[in-house]
Amino acid sequence: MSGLLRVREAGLVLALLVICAGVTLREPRFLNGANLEQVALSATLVCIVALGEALVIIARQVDLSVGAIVASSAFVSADWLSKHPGGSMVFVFAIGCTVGLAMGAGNALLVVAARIPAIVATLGTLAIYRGAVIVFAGGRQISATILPDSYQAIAQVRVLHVPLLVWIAVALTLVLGWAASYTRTGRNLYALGSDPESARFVGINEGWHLALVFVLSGLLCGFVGVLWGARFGTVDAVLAPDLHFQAISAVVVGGVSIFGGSGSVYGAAIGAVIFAVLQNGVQLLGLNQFWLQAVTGAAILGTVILYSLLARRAERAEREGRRRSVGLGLNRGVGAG
Amino acid sequence: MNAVAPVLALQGVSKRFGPIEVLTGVDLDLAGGRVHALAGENGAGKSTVVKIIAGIIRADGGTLRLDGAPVVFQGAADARRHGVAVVHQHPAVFPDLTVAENIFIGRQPRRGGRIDWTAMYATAHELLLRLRMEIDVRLPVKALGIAERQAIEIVKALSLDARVLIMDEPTSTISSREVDRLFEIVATLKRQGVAILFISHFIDEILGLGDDVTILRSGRRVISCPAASLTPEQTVRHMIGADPGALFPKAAAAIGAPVLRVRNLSGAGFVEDVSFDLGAGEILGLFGLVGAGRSEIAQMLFGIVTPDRGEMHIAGTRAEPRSPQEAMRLGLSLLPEDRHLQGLVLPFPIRANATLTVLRRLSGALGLVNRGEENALAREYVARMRVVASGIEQVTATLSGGNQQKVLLAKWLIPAPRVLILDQPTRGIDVGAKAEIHRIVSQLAAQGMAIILISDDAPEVIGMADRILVLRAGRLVATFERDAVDQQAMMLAAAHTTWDQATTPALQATP
Repeated sequence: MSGLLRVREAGLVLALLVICAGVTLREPRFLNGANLEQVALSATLVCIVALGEALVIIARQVDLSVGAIVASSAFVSADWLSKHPGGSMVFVFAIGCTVGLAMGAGNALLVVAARIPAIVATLGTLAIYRGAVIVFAGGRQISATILPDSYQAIAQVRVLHVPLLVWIAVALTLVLGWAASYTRTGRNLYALGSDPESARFVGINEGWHLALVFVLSGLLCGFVGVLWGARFGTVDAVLAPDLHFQAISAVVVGGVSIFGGSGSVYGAAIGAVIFAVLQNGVQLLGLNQFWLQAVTGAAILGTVILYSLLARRAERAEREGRRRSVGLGLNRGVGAG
Repeated sequence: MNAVAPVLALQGVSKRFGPIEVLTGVDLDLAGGRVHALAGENGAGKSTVVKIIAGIIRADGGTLRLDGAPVVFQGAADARRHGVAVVHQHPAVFPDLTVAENIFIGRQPRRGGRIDWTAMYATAHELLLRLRMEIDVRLPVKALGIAERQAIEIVKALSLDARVLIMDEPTSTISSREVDRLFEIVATLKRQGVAILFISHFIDEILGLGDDVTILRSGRRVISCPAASLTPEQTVRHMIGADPGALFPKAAAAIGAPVLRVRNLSGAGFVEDVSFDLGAGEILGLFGLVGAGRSEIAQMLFGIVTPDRGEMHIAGTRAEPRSPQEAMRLGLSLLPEDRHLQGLVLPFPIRANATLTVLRRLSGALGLVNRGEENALAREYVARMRVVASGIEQVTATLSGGNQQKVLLAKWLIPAPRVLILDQPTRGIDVGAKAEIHRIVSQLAAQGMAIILISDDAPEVIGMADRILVLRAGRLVATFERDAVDQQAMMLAAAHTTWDQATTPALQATP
């Protein structure tokens, strides 16, 4: 990948380390094993959603319905499990993923077939999906007591002392990050986000690629829905109310341009971890929750301003380059004539 | 025309966009190993021909034949699969992707299912070296200048092993060194038997590089012949047509003291040392091809673009507008080139559009607009411009193009400017509205307004202007007085790269 991206991700990791160090200085319990595990687990779920969101935004789209899809998947799968306590875990995941896939396909249909701008289409489905699961739940809450232990065990399993969920998130990050830079489909997403008009000129199938990112985002949300239930035990229809903010924040702070075409899936994953650490730090230091909101906002604006300053500098260099080449063009009658 | 069977041929191709027929029964043969130059004025239909051959749009009538067999391209990718490559005038590049990826997008080299970045960078580097371009292939394209982006397009076409290569004004944006290199490459491709369609505004390129020449005018083929049988004068005559003497009602006006004095204006990337004076009651024509710097000069005068160098005096006082607001206070008005994007708020009623420039003057102490005064002003100008509308509250979007243009003119006349700059004031409007606008402009000049008329419509400039400045590549290359203007000479000055007004009344075809 290009040097610029590597620099960007190195900078993010550096920022993450600085935040960790800052929190540790004020509250050494941050480095406590159990605390780090909590941070990792809360980063995990947002991270997987952010991976899908990153691909959507790279393709110059946006998916606001992620939280609603996660809640739908979580409730529908937990509801089934509460009625079939002996049911296979594979089947639970299949249900959750199918819900996510279908809802992602709904978004794809609106954006690709009905040509509704993604921000409006997913704003609509955000409400529709959430409304549907609220109606389906009818005010019910599915609590840990009526769910089998095998379900919640998913969140407890450790491999090499690290929760399985964390491994899953790392694996998905690596796979999607790899696919984004090493497959033609992945690169086509960047091309589409960078200049949709040019993408048509070189024959990239816009509809297919946009459908792909929305379906993939839905699928990942469906998967996360099942994990959500496993991790928190209790499931209702209004869970993850602002997950779309968290996911988009992680993506933007992770260096993905909101105008599409640049940034990386890895950056989005690091962004999710940064927000998990910030949240944990605010809790550990016993600060008012308001501070979390304020810090989140400052982090988003700060990084975006930084990235746009960098971009403007590159643009200025380009303009100067152009002036030089046009300057040569003035006396070209000598060469051509 | 030539004995070789054409690789690609257009036969009786027609295309219309809505009510406007842009191509009418055009024939064109592209033979292997030959360069076919396509010429014509702006709007003659050259780009439409390119888009049809490239598979971007489909012809309404006629046939496209590849090796004698009729084909219909299902989009750009399909045309490319058939060996048709296009180098577009405005490079279709992805600014965020690297140079190498831009060349190989959609067909990146793979090894074991994954994109082989190392091989891609190496191959791209090699291809660029063939063009003798030293560009870091790992750089994102947004870090490059326009010439380098063009080079990437050419390299892309080369790497596709194209049988038919279309070059849509490739030289209009690149430097002399690169033009030379481009011509070397064209020669190489010719030797390899590639059929090349070369589109250019520059007459010496058309006649020097082309083996065959086809000239289009208003969507029809005027002539197709070997380049050797045409002189530059004949080429221009075929491009502009027979009757340049259309009617323009420029009334005689006494030209008064200089209102605007411009000295050594430079900037906007390529405008260099433009100087002129403009008197009260004078219409000064600025004529040039696309990219000659016409609109850039207007934008610098009006404070949209800050010039790098140069001075401007209005009525003897040094003026340095840094924004359109300042320029308006100095007594300038600019009727912009694109009335939809830059000129009018289409969902607004006529009244709101017309008075947008003077809202501050119309509003009282509390910032509330005096509607009575506003309505009176709008009504007066709508009547003066003879806008055909149900009233001043009609939504601007529902007007015809010509009436929209009159509203735009009203908007810029209401501030009562001393200097009025008109950028392509009659482009795309019907003949009747065009004549009306000419009549209004002529009246304004007679009343003593100083007017700059920017246009690429040669008969319009000749008919309206008291004096014509011809621009090419950001410089003034020729001046014509009203009574000594010659359309052919003017076109040659604008288009010919080796024109020199003092020494070359009769030009030779350049090799």
